[in-house]
Amino acid sequence: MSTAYTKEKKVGEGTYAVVYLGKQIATGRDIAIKEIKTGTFKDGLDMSAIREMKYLQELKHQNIIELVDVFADKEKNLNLILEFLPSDLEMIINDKKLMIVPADIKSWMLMTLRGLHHCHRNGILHRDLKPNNLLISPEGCVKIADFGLARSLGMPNEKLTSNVVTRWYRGPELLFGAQHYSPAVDIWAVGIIFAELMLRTPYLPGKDDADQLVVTFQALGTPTEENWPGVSHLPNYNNLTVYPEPSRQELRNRFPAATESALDLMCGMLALNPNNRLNTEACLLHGYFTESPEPTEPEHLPKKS
Amino acid sequence: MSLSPDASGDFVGVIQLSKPYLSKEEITHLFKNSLMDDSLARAYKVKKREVFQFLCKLIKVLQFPTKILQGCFYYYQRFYMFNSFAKYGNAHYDVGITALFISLKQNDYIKKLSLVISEAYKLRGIAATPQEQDEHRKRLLSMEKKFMELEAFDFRYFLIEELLIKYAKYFRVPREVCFLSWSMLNDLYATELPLQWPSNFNAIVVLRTSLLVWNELNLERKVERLLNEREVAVHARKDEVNNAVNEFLEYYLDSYETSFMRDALEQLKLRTDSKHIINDVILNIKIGLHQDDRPNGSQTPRNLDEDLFFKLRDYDVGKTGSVRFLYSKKKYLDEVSQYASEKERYSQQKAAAPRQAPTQPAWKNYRAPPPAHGVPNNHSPRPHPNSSYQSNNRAAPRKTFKKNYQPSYNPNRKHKPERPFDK
Ligand SMILES: Nc1ncnc2c1ncn2[C@@H]1O[C@H](COP(=O)(O)OP(=O)(O)O)[C@@H](O)[C@H]1O
Ligand SMILES: [Mg+2]
Repeated sequence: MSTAYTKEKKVGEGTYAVVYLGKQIATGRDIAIKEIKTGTFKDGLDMSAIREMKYLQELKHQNIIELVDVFADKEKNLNLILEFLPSDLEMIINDKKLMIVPADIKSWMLMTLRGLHHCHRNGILHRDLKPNNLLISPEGCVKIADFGLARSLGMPNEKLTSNVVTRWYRGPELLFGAQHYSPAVDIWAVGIIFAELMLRTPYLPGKDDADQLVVTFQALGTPTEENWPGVSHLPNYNNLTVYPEPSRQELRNRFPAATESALDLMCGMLALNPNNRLNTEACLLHGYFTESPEPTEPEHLPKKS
Repeated sequence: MSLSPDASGDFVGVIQLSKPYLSKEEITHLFKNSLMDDSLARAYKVKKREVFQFLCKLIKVLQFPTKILQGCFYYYQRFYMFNSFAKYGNAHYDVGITALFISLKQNDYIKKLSLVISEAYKLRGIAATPQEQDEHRKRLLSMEKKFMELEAFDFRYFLIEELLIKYAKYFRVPREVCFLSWSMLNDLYATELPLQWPSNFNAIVVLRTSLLVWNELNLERKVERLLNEREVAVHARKDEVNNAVNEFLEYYLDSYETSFMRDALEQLKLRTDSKHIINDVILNIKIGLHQDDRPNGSQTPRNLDEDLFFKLRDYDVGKTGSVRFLYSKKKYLDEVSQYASEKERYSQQKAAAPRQAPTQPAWKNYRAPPPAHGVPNNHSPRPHPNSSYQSNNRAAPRKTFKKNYQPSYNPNRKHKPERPFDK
């Protein structure tokens, strides 16, 4: 590799990159090396790699993964040097031996929203939030990672692709194929992650794109012109069964451990109409975060066993 | 961006600091290297104009917004700062199309390179077989690699257009002047100002220049607007802004006829004849600027010849080792400062364990790590424009224009110190 880093074992593989564990020699610090497979690109450097570098270069925040360096090695492969984050929220959710208490969930939500707030106030949409992309540092801090789908907000009239976000975390506007959307798509995903943390299982696991619509609207009600003016003009809005929105009591039954303000926050993040969804600031100022219990200190959060 | 042998002292690796902005002095020095003599310099100028006009047309055909030109013209000019014009002078269309292609990617416009190439052929009226076009495509892709290395894979980028719109709204600039400044921004991309200054500064320069032009042309409808750039967190000295406005106006002296400004004046039904615009309007404004021609203060000129960064690029430099790209001078200096203690630790370890990686520096031959050339003594006459982002003590534009919004719920937003090295 180079004089500055060692490359040890492979720890993960993504769509366009292989991730290795390594060390920064000067500091002894653990780092992750994300090696971009440049050889396979048809049209030069891949967009995902460009996005990842661009947004990580622009964003610095304790809840966003840090890009330490970029390296081109002898074979002209590109290597992104990232801080090493040994676990992620998906591992924690799936590790059934771990006990998760409400204060832990509050802490993860708080850190995620802080990182996301930083993205949004800098005009950057993440567009692929899911437990697997929320990495966790050895100190227990959540770090938003994987900016391969991120993009900047752009002008209001710019068309965006609705083919973003892993299916289960896709907001209704994306399911309808909207070409104009907002930071609210990320808030929806965080709302779904919130629910998943409480349930310890995916909240809306659609089997395919069509099923995702059904599952989502069965659980949360079908959007109508009444609660979302203009929705019926979106590309995929047709032949929908109209399901009612769940009652408060129904939600209490679904999330027995949730307090009233936890449910309020979740409902605010999962408003069908993106214009009514809370933004990161409103989420962070929500009563949920100030009511008891206090969020767990990151270092005391449950860790992968 | 600086080039130097890596800490081990031999040419195993190269360190390259990203330096997106350069001072006028540095730019002049670089072009002196790459253009060599007056006749090449003239040829460069002619070809640059030819290619830029071509790219403007190509962007129209491909239906992309003009903001694409910002990155496109920036990359084109940067390429010829670091590469010999004698060698690459005839590849000016290739350089231009590659610059466009990268700018498209950076702005999140996904278009196939083959499509860009075939439209370019059509526009230039050149017939080419599919095979020829594919060959061409491969050539451009290898050129893209050169660009990426040149830019140290630094994709940070702020649209001047976005900031211009924000500032114009903030200062309540009248619609027509907004239109004029938006048009003139497209001219600014072709100047060297984006090579020197961050986007927030350039947005102010365009806004100021367009107001001056407007007022000069509409004596009875003058817009008296106080543009206090400090309100939008652009902390530049008055003479810096004036010099930049002056440099921008210079562009029109020989490019007015083909400029976006001319089209805008026509659409606004104002006088457009070049004699009036150049001799009266532009020169009047220039005289009014009381510009400060003195070279920056009493600074002794730096010897740029000693710095590898200011030499023509050698793409083979990474062939024998790796190239490390840096984005933060400070982080690098912090790292270097840890080398000494690491050296001790490493030699203790080494006594016990065999070397882990073959490429680790030979600490026994340890020399003081040469910091990337130009890094520690990079005190440029002006603090901000020509330094890298993080060492820039002005906040980046995206972050500044939020009216000092400080949410109270996030008390420790500051970076935690890096983990201590022995942890
Ligand atoms: N900084 C890191 N530290 C440790 N493991 C990482 C790090 N970044 C990525 N990984 C591992 O590599 C996998 C793929 O990386 P990711 O950035 O999510 O790429 P992709 O875009 O392909 O999903 C992750 O799921 C994770 O297991
Ligand atoms: Mg991922």
